Amino acid sequence: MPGSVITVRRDQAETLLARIYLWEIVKGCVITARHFWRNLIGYMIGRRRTFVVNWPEEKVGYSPAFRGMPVLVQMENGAERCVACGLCEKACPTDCITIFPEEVGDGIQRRPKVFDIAIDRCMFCGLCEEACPEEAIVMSRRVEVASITKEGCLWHKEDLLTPASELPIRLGHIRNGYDRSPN
Amino acid sequence: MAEPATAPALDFLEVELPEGFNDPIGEEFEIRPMVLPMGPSHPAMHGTVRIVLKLEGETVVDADVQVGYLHRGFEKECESGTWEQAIPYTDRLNYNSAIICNLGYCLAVEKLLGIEVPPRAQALRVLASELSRMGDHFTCVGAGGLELGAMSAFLYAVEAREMLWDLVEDLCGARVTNNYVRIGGLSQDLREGFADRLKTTFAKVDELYSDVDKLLTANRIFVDRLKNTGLLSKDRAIAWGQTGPVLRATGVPYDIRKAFPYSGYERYDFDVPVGSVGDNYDRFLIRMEELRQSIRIIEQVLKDLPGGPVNVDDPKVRWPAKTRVFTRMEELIDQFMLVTGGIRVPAGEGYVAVEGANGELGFYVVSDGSGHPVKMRCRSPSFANTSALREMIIGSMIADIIPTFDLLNMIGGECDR
Amino acid sequence: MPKGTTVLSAALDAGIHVPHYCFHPKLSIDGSCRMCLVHVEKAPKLQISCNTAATDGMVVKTDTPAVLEARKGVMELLLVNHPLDCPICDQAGECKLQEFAFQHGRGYGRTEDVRRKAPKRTEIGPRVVFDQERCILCRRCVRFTAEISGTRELAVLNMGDRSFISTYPGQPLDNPYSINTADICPVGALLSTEFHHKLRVWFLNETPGVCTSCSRGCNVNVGGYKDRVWRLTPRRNDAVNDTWMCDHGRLNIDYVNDERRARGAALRTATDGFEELPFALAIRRLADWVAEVKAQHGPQSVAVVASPQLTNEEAFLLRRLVRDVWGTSMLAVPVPMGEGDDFLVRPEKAANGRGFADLDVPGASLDQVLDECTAGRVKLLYVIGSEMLSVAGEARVRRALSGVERVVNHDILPTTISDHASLVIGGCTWAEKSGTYTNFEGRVQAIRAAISPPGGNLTEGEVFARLIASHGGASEHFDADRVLRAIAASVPAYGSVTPEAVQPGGVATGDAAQPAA
Repeated sequence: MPGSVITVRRDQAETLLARIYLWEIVKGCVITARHFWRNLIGYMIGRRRTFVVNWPEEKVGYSPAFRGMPVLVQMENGAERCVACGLCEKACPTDCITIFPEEVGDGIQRRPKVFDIAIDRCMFCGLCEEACPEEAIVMSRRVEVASITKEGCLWHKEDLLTPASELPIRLGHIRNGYDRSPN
Repeated sequence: MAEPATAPALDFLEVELPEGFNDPIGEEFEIRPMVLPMGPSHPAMHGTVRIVLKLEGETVVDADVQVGYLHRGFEKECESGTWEQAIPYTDRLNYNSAIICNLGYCLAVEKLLGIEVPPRAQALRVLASELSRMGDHFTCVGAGGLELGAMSAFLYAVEAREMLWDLVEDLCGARVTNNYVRIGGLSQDLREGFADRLKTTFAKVDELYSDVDKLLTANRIFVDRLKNTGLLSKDRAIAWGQTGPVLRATGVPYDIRKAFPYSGYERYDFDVPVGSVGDNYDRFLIRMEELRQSIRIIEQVLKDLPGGPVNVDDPKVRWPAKTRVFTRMEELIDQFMLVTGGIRVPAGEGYVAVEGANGELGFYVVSDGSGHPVKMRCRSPSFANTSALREMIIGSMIADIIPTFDLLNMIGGECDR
Repeated sequence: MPKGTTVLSAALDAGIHVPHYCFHPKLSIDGSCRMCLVHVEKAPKLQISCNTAATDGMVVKTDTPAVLEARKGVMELLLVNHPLDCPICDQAGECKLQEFAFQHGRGYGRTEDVRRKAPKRTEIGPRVVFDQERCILCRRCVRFTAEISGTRELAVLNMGDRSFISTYPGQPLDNPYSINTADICPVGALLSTEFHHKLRVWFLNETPGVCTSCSRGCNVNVGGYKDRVWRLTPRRNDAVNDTWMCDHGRLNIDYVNDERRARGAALRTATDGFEELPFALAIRRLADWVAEVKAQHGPQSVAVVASPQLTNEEAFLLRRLVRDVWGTSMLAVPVPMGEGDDFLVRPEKAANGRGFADLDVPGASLDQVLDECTAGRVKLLYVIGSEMLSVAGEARVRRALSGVERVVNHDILPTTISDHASLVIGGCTWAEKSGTYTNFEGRVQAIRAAISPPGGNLTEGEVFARLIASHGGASEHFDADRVLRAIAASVPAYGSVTPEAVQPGGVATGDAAQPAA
């Protein structure tokens, strides 16, 4: 197995310059000054270099793999894709999804009569999306879901329905990259 | 103090004065040590730990380290779900390096199942683990600087951490609670262009690392706070069951990635830094050096990343690919049976340890053949490390507790589970 | 084992797992699914174990590579045309196709062709839906209608890969046992309309119990979740009901979940409204009234009409309360009667008529009690349940009730009787209490509480125990096991009935103890 054991050097503060300490102060100031001027000039010319995002006026850019809160996908005709199979309910580690199914029209199809997600229990792990056999529940990019009441944290089917056109990134991510094993 | 002090045998409110000590005031008034609870809500007690100090002036005469404020019943909680449902809970153990916890658990279950993941999955697991480890070490050294007054160093360190977390988010979708490793592979493969994004990020991370290094490592004030504080000898460290950077600071070159390699670590060339004295400065330097080694490992992983699948080819273990679940009957049935019943892990018990950011993170799982764990025990490195804290701070001043506790890197979620 | 036992029966009885679809222990052997293939030594090809008689010295292997490969092949062919219905199929969670495909199947689909299309969700009968695409043609349903129900509604039409199950024109699957076909169907082709798309079965807690719609006492599993009873499915008991139950008994559970269930106790006020009363106070009030009436008019002016749906333990305590503590013999237990048939349905439409008789509980007939009430000689009538309405007719009951000063109604739903009641106490159904019932043959069978009673209602047993205690008896809570042991000690015919022996198949007493004819 390649690699070796190295002993760390404890004498880095023993050099003359380090002992004088003036050099350390200068070095430190140079570093912080560099950051300071870089950030200031960048701010002034419009090409910001700081890592700070002035939320809520500015938003953070998320990668396509980002997992926000789970939502139900709505098809063009306004109906949900969900058939209330209950797999997401079973896969959820925190039991935050409650589903009661009902028959639709001709009775062949089924849809959820009740589809509640307790967002205060949800830990945004994405297992529901992985379990869904219908691409009906996906992790959106919404994370700003705070509420000051407990009832405000219980999202019902109507609140969760999101048109598929608003979820292109996630749907693309599921279809292309989620699991590219050949089987 | 030059020598590590063992616990003096004192009753709680008594103090032993040295011989010949002339104490005119004490003859009139009773002198008792002051009890100062350094409470769970304290900026320096990260992870919520309570240290009840018995002080003689500024010197710590005795200490009572009380952990458990973050105990959430993780082990019991895992018994109520299936094997897959426990993975998001393992994220919350060492939340600074969550992927390593995921990995340890999945390796333990894979050992019971007797399966081995494909080489690409192993390589990606190493990559993700090292990114997590870097995040944890940056946090630790940055917080060390912060608590000793070097706030700029902290900001640069967490800026580097933010960039690493952005990379991790690109990998798996979340910065902290990753849920990336699965039993039998990974949740998803790399996206296009990941290697390039990593290279650009690492350029900036390197710069920030050298900034932190220049600000702290040779800084007399910082070094004086850390040198020869929080001493622990090699024997005592081993007796307390310490592992990880804290043990390596005392000179023991024990790294599980070298001693019991897992997930393909034996293929990569990296060094194990050890200290010599066993004080805080050694721990700090080891963590800085491990950051460099992690960068080295990541570069090697990306250089010869094998192709192929990231999941084991077993329909009874790993949830099938989504496109096949939508279109094939057998895969749909497999998905249903695996999600509702869980992976049927053969009955037995197994223990697998990985090198967490703080030491040996072990998972002991017991299965009875069904889809639910019977017992899921986590051997937490922070817990063992923190148990020696009392010995490390007795005899030192209050001000020495801060760097000691910080560079132990006790993560509350891991310590208390 | 008896001569002629098949290899499959022997294996299943010994606890060895052999997958099978068309075999059912109570139906004739079909041999059409080919899933139970095993390797029999000295036979050149794999044999189906369901139709191979076990002989002395036969060596059968169920895990050779050939057997495993054969199972994979059969599974794959069964799944070739099976629709991707798992998300919308109710059978998920108890589907034999899913289980054996996962355990024994190949794991990967190889076909990409379009699957055959067929009628879905047809009303093959008033209580059963049929999905032809999901049918794997095991023919269990056909054999059931031919051999068990005798009504022969189902048949296999066409041949080969065009076969399908169907009824004849104008003759739907409408017999009193039709939903059993949904039980025995291993896939989701035949499903009960009542439970269709109601709930996923993995949420149901299946508590073993007994059906209470007639005195046969078919063994059932009570599917409860969130304090509702969602369905009953028959449990195997070769001495009582094999693996079947009638449709009526299966569907007769709506009253358990009814919103109008009586919750708690209520006292009629002077203005003819009802004010709520805590249970303890209601029990105290009843005890006080009984004492008052006995003191003024003698014990025979207190009358009790009990429901034959009470358990043996509750009947035992009631007897002690009414005959011993209250000292009146006016205790009637009306059993509603109806039509029986020659298979499972009994004419006695209550679960425990025999139990009440065995424990010598009734002291008078319903006619006597009602006459006394009409004549005005009964000052306090304690009615548990409402069977007397169907046995004696509403008019007669109303006349009787108007002749009574105080009527106490202890029931689960509001009825005519509660209109006349001065005190109403909420009761519990069989789903919410534990105890035993004695079926018509004398077999004592156990039920266990599946859900919690609504409104925190106490069980009738608990109420009787507290009434006994309030009259000076020892105060103890109702414990069904303890009362059962007391019954075994005091009733000779029930001497062998213990809480352990009663699970899971019941203890035979009386006629049932005789060897089966």
